[in-house]
Amino acid sequence: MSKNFAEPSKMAPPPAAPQKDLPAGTCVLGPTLHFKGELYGEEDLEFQGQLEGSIEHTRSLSIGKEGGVTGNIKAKFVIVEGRVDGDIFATESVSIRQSAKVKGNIYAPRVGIADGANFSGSVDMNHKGAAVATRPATVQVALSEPAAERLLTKAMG
Amino acid sequence: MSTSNERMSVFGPTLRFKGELKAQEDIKIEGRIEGTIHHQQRVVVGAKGDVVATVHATSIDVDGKVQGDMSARKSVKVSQSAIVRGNIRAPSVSITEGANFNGGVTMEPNAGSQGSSNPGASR
Repeated sequence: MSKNFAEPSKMAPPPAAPQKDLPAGTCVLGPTLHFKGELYGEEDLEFQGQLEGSIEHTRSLSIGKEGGVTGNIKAKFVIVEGRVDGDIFATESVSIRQSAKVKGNIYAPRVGIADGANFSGSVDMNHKGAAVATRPATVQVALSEPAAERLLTKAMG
Repeated sequence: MSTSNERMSVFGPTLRFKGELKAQEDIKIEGRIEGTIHHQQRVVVGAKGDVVATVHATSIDVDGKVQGDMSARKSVKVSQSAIVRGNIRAPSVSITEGANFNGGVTMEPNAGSQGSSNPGASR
């Protein structure tokens, strides 16, 4: 109920200085969020919610302890602390933490699986897509462009 | 309910999502969402936010762009920097002068009450 009173003061800063309000750091998506569909991003993201669908990311993506993803994940760095049912493609590295539960394949030049993690699937460190996309030229292209996306998909395939 | 007020999820400016979003915590949208949003709490569409979706929530604050219908159990606030195209349904609606709004407004005491968890507030 008191939320309504807090709104005006909270809302005041963003239009004036939107850059400062949103730090360049990680953005967090909370545990009660349920996504069904495709998610794209070009900033570091910590995901604590549930997602059914696919994630395509150009930077680092961490699936938090409470996070769960059913679907494929593509990113530069992937850190998994939660549950993933699906394949993980990373252009740099994938790190499966102790609390993680992963069912699917991992394609990345560097992969780490912590002791205690629950992982069933295969690991491919020589995946063509992973190696090609490591070149910064490919990564730095704005992925919002369909041409760039096609390029990446082709590279992955 | 009050605990979710402290930490708010921010859907960052480079994020794009297509599909269905459900949540039970406050969220600020600075990115682009296409589809539907079903929320139990407050939704803030930030200045950089771009929403092409039907939005249901307890309260909705718009600073950015929204294309689609919005229905709130409590209130909808359209601020000066907002660009809204769609209909608004809520018991309390405010549109700040300077906002770009095209659509209908329905102020009903129990508008958008589908699946309301607190009927006492809307009656």
